[in-house]
Formats: sequence, C-alpha cells, structure tokens
Amino acid sequence: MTSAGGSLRRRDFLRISAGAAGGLLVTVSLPACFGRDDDDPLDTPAVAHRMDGYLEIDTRGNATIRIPVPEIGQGVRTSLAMLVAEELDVPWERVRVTQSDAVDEMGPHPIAGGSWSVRAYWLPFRQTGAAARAVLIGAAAARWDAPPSELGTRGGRVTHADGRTLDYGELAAEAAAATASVDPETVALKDPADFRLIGTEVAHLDTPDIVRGATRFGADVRLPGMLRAVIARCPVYAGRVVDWDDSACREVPGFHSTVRLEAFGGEPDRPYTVAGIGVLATSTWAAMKAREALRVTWDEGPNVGESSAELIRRCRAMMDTRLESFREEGRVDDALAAAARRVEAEYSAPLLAHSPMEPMNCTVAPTAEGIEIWAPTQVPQAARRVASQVSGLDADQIRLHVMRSGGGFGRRLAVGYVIEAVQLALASERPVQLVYTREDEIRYDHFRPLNVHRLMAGLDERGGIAGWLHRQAGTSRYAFREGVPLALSEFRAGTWPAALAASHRLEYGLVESNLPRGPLRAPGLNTFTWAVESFLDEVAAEGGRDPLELRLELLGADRELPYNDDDAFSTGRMAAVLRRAAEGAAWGSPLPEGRGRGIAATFTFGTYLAHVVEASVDRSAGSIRVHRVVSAIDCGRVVNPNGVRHQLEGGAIDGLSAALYGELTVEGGRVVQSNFHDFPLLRSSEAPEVDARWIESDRDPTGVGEPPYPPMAPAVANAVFAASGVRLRELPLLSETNRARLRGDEA
Amino acid sequence: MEFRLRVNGDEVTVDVLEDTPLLWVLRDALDLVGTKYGCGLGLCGACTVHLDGEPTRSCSVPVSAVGERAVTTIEGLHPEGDHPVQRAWIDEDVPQCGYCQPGQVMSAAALLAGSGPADDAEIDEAMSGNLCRCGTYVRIRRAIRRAAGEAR
Repeated sequence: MTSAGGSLRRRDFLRISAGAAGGLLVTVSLPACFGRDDDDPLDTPAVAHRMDGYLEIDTRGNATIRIPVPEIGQGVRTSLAMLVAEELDVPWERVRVTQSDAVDEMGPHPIAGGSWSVRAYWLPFRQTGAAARAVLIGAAAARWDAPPSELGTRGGRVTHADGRTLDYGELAAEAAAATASVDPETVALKDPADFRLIGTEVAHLDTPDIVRGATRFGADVRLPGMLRAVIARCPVYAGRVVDWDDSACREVPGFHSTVRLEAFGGEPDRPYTVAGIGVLATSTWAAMKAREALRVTWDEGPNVGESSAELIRRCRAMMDTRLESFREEGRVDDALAAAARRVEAEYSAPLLAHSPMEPMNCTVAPTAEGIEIWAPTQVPQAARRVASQVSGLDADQIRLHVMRSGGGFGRRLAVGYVIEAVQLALASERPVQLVYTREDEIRYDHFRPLNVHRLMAGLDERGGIAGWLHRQAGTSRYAFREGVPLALSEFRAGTWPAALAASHRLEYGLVESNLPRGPLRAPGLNTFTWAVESFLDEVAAEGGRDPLELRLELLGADRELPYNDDDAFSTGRMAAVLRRAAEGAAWGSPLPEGRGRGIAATFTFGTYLAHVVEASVDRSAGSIRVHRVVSAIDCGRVVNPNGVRHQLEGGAIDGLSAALYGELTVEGGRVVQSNFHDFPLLRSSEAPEVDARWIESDRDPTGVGEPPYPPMAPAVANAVFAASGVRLRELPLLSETNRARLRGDEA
Repeated sequence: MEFRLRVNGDEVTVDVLEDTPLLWVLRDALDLVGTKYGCGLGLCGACTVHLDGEPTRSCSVPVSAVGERAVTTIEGLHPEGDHPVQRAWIDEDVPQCGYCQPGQVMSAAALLAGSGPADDAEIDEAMSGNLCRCGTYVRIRRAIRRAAGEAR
C-alpha cells in the first residue's frame, strides 16, 4: 500500500499482479488534476493526491474496470469505462465495471460533484488502459520472441505483422508475472482520429439491470439480524431532547428499542446533525409506526425565530446598507451617473430542498474488525472519515461500500445520515438500516441558500452596457467555513457578463441564519445565472436590442479572459453555443400569438451552454407551458453523446421543475413543506421536448452534469416576457404571487 | 397476523401487521426490493405494482386489502426481463439514476396491456403519476411509443 501524500517513486506508478481469478490486475497511480474539492463537508486540507486506475483482465479476456466515482445517474460508470476500454483496445461487450469501496488507493477526493469526473480522469484512465495494453504487448512479445514495437492490438487481441494473434485472455496470466517497465505517464496514447469508442453513442451499462429491478440501492441491502430505523427529530431545526417516552412504542409488534442521539458537529445552535431519538424495529413499517407512537418533549432551541420571510426581509434591508465590494473594474458609479439610461431590477431565489427520488439511507453493521457501511454517497472518503470520527475507529477498520445513488444533486455531498447510522449501530450493537421518509428528506436537508440580487446597468446611446453593478445579499453556504470568501459561495463572480461591460462592480453581503445550507446542482451559479440572464434581457428590452444580439455584442471578438484563479473564459465559445441554440430554435422567426422565446447561457465548470426556451402563457389561468427547449453545449470532446444528451434533457427538466415550482419555506424555525403535494416536482405531462446539440471539439472534455441546470429559470422567464410582456423576478415562477402577475391581478 | 398472497405467480404467506402497506410486505417480508419507496402517500409512483394487472401504488394498499388479487412486481413482469416495455427501455436507454424506473416500467406495462395509448395525451395521463427527478420523461415517452408501435 502506498501512503497518501508525499511524492511517489516512479516504480510505484504501475503495479502488476495476478487478478483474483488468475488473470492480470493492473493498478496505476497518477497525479490528480484537481486540488481540494470545493464541497468537502469536512474541509479536508489539500494534499498532493493520486488517482488510481484499477483494471483486471481475466483469462477469458474480459476487462473489469473499477470505478472510483459514485454513480448518481450521471453515467460515470459508463463514461469512465469507455476511457479505459478505448486505450486498452478491448471490445465493449467484454467490459464490466465494479464500484470501488472507499479505500485509500482511490485517493482522497473521488467525488461525484463539480461536473469533474470525465474532466479529471480523461488522461489518467486513458493512461491506465494504455499501460495495461503495453503490458499485454510485452507478454506477447516475450512469448513470440519479437520486439514489442512490431506488435499491435485490435479488438482484445495482440497482433503480429505476420498475422499471428493472441487473445488478451490467453496472455493475462503470464502478463501478471512479467516485470514490465511501463511508465503510464509516458505510454503512448491513441490519436483521437483512431478512437473507436470515445465519441460514439454508448448505452449505459446498468440499464438492463435497472429495468429488471435488479439494481440494488442503499435501502435494498439485507443483512442477517438487521434492524430498521427512523429518527424522530425536533420540528424546529436544532431543537434538543428534554425527555422521551417510548412506552406506546412497545405496543407495536416488531419494535426493538429507542436510542438517544446527540447532535454532532457544527456549532451548538447549528449542528451538522441534529439531536433526536432513533427508533429501531425489525421492519421498516414497524419503525415508522413506533415513531408515530413515540412521545418526545423538545426544547425548541434557538431557531424558532428563523423564517424564510424574515430572511428575505433581512436580505432587502442589507441591500440598503453598504455591502462589501468583491470585485471592481472601471468607475461604475460614474458610468451609472452619466448613463443615457439606467435599468434596475431585484431578483430573488428561495431556499430549495434537493429531494432526490431516493431518500437518504445508510446501513451499518458492527464487524470483528470495526464496522461495515453501505451508503449512497457522493463523497465516499468524507463518509468514511466522518464514520471514523464518530466511532473512534481507524479508517482501515471501516469498510465503506459505495451504493448507487437514486439521484445526487449535491444532496449526498452531506454525510449526516452516515453519522446517524453509525451512532445507531454502535449504540444497539446490531446491523442497522437507517432510512429517511420523504418528510424527513424534505425537512432535514441542507438547503440551497436563499438570496436576493439587485442589479443596475447604465446604458449608452446604442443600448450597450457602460456600467454594471451586481449586489447580492444571502445566506451563504460558506458561512461556517473559515478563510473562504463568502461571496464565492453563491456569487460565481467570474467573467460573464460583468467583466465584459466597460465598468463593473460586484458586492456581497451575508445574512446570518442557522438554517443548514449546502451545495445544489451548479452551486452559486444556479441563482447567480437566474439573476444575470434575466437582467440581461431587461437591459436588452430597455435599450431596444435583441437579447441574443446584445449578448453577442457584449462578448465581442473571440478571445480568452481570465476566470477566477485557474481558468479562462472564451468569448468565442460562449458566442458559439448561443448561436447554435438560437439557430436550432429558429430565433427571430414568427411565433403564434401568446408564445415567446427566451435565451440564457452559462459558463459552468469549464463548459459553455445556452438554452432557448419556447413557452406560452395562459393569462386567464396564470400558467406557463414550456413547449420546447433547444440546448447547445460546448464541453470539449464529447466522450459519450448518449450521456451528453441525457444530461441536457435531464438538466433542462430539473431546471424547469425548480424554476416553476421549487420553493422550501420555513416558519417559526419549522419547514413548511413535507411531501410531493406541497413540494411538487415537474410531471411528465409538463415535460417539453429537448433538442440537444453540441459543438464538435477536440479540446479535452469538461463536464456536463451541472451546466444545463442554471440557465433554465432565466430562459423560461425570458420566454414568458416575450410571450406576455410580464417580467417575473421571483422564483418560483408559478408562485401564487407570480400567477396573479400573469393574470394581471397585480399592478 | 398471517396473510396469504399470490406474488409473481407464487403463493406466499407473510406474518405482518395488518395495516402494513403492500410495499413494505414486498420489500421487508419478501425481500422483493425492486419496488421502491419514494413518498408513502401515492404521489410519486415509485412503488407501482400490478394487482390483477392494474397499476397500483403499493404504498397506499394495506396488505389486508389485497385479498386474492395477483400481485406482480418488477421482478415478475417477465421471466427473463424481456417484456416489450423493458426492451423499449433498453433500446432508448431510458434510465439515469434508475430509482423511479421500476415504477415507470410497471405503469407503462399496464398502459400497454390494454389496447395501448392512442396518443401522447393518453401516455401523459397514464404516466403522470410517476415522478422522475432526473428528467428522463423525454425518453420514457419515446420508449412507450416504441413499445406501442411494436405491439401493433
């Protein structure tokens, strides 16, 4: 085992050994492309970390690739396997995947987040496949007594110029015994022109199992003697247990016991997990029934005054004070004062629950060595670390199996449910499967923050932007971190569009709140984009400009601008996705009465994306119908077109659902919503067709999971304006207030 | 309390609380975990099974109300997992995370067991009780049309 951190000697980079069934096991250690992950809930300091490729070739020539990144529906088990299989040169039918447990060799940060997996593993996984191929060629060369340089591969076989071939399966065992000196960092990779797999439509490997109901999720784990658990928590966030009475629980057949859980982590008034009473039973239904029979006396604690209405009020009040300037170029105040025209608008976005289809769950079993955990998680190593903290066990006493997640969306970057399950298993000394009901899932989430944006633009005579002022006040999800600028949490103050104006200033103010917040799909950008892409449309309207044309003029000549510390923003690539989406939607062509088109774009995690939404408004009903979405993405080289299309479709529909309906409200410290009747999601009858397009590119791939989400809300609002002349500035678009605006009930 | 049920063609006996929803009988008493819990209130469709071929939210049916009706779960929809709906789901590569899909497949299979949907409006009406948070609705519609086309 190599140790984490420190430098690795070259000879450790490739390890060859015998596979479990007598074939070949290749493990490859390579420097990672990324530093500390932005949303690590435990704030792990950056280390010089490695990523390891694992590839096993059995004696029948099947290749099993171990996937370090959790699968949350983003298709990573397929896309990462494609990278290895391409360079290994093995037929796709012979490829299998297994999910890695949380082990040291994964490196510290193989998270499902940041749209980063394909981007980060693009080179290391190709190098893994190529290194294994080189090892197999070496074995064939030895057997044939031929120079490796005269050998090739095709379709899972090593080939000799004289026509002889050897299947990988025949070579695997002797390759394992070889002492090849292959350096994965310098091994030759395919010319992309020779790709046979990357860039082709590949169906997700797990689909057949899923449609048969054979795919196992976390709550499907079954262990002998396993208890089921639900947790009673105070309806007011972070309320404390004063006393409890489980005598009525004993009437429920199957009831086992109650366990008092202490709050864990964070601060006393805003703990990472809240205090509660775990209710254990031999069946899930009995646990739920027993929880209903449980009587708890709560001390509601310090947060009864928390409410979303109060937070909005405080955001607005803060706007009237001086906010901290986060970034400034040029003399914005002068530009605004001298402007021919000024446009001003306020936007707001509410708290939002993630509410994936699969509620949180975690199964923990005490073992002879320590504990064994089955968890759907986006952060396996953080989950294992927190289990170590809670239990006092060393990491190597903890086996953590990463389960497929029934949706992530950033919800499973939090690890509270792992903490709770470990607490319950250790207290009861039994295997315990903790589940969250839908009510638990909505109420005890780490919410997408609430914020208010005020934007002001000064226009010149041509309707161009002479000055741009963006002020934001909100409940940063970084408020509990030290040393991180708060503005970066919900204020992705990169380049577009502010820095393209002649002058600009970005300001941020923190509104204090104890309510738990966390990252949600495209963190920060999901509300930042709502504000700026809506406001750009308002600027266009005020200046008599076409919204697409205004954006293209703002982008100007094709060039790169610095973006944050480590990235670049290409105006040309942004313009290209805007044009591609507009072209696909026949932007500018006539539409029937009552229909309108809206456009919005984003630069998210290195990827450029634009949506054009076609929507109609029913003024009498106060409703919105989205008919069609045309999406154009530039994510560099497309690894799996099927996967990209999936994310464009899914991200658009997720974004639309949140735009129309997404709202989580708090009153008296209690979450108001509880289930899908009052926290609705978009239904299939409301789902538009999505026309997915991408820019052909040979740049290294960037991610696609998050970019489609942020521009949906503004694209829909812009389409609503085009269709009806009504400008909606508060999310969700179909709130009662907004419906009244659409009906014309309000001034 | 003991209940005799017919599940996926087998006669089974379970000993559960009489108000136990069929969903939890399937998942916990019979270890048929293909049927999923999503909301417990019949609002999301993840728990959809067939009772005598009718699509039913198993979270909202107490085991005491099942009676003689044949229960079919995703595991029992087809012996080799090769139902036309399952084939169409594979051809269109419908799932992302996959959690809602057993319920989607069961609802779609019930829809197609009759004369099949006449148009998209019928598809929408039949399928709108099944939520998909990942947004695979576009592909679900295409897969149902494909399966319906195959059936003709």
